[in-house]
Amino acid sequence: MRKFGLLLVLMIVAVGLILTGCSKAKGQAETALKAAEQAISAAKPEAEKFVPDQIKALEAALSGAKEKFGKKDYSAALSDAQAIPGKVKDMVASLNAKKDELTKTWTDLDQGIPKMMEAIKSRVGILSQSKKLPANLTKEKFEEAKSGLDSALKEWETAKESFKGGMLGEAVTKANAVKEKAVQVLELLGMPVPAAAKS
Amino acid sequence: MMRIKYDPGLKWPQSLASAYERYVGEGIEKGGKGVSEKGEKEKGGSDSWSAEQFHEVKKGDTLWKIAEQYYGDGSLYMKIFEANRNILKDPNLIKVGQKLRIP
Repeated sequence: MRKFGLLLVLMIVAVGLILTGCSKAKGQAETALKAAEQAISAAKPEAEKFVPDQIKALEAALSGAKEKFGKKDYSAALSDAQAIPGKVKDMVASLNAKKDELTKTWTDLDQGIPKMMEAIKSRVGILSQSKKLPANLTKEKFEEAKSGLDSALKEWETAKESFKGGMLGEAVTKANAVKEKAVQVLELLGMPVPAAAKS
Repeated sequence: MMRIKYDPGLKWPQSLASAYERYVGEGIEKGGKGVSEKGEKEKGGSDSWSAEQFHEVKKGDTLWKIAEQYYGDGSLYMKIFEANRNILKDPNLIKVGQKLRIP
């Protein structure tokens, strides 16, 4: 009888320890999940603009950790959640690098495209006054060049709007399209293509 | 006072002759006027975004002919003259080797 009592006490102590340990792991996992969620939320607005794939992958990792927590697999949820803030830090570093690269590209295009446009506008203006087009330029080619210039000018305005709106990636994509169009027009008109526009 | 006799058979030293060639080759005229070819290259070449077109004047060229070549219409020669007022004083006077900007 005395032996049974001792065994019962030991069992109660063991269950208590397990429950305490479980509750501690749950609390740690909860804290880690909260920290991971906060890290993702803080980086999300910028990350969605520059590294959308990376932020999506991190959100998926957070969902996975939450799922494990829901299934009471606290230790797995804890280790998954603890890894997230470090990954967010890495993502922010690559985001900043991409932002710098896009800013540099934009600055370059913003300086160069207006120069190309001005040269084209000047030539189109003069050719429009010409009684006869030069030997290397047909009327069709000239009309194509004029409409190309018009659409490039419009697209350039939308690129600048995107930049003003903080959509740097979109602005650079649009500006590159404008550059391509300007190069086509220069070639149609038999004008030299600037070295920087060839790359 | 030392006098130097004129000798028609006297040749310029090679180093002086080549220096003169370099001097003229850079497009600088004796009177200090004219266009520097090097300067024009820098003007059009250092800016990698520049889409400016240049025409090097050849023997027999006139602004009318150049305007015909680039615009199809010689009567637009004044456009070229106006764009090159910094180096041209008279539309009828262009020199071989000058680099003209074609607007």
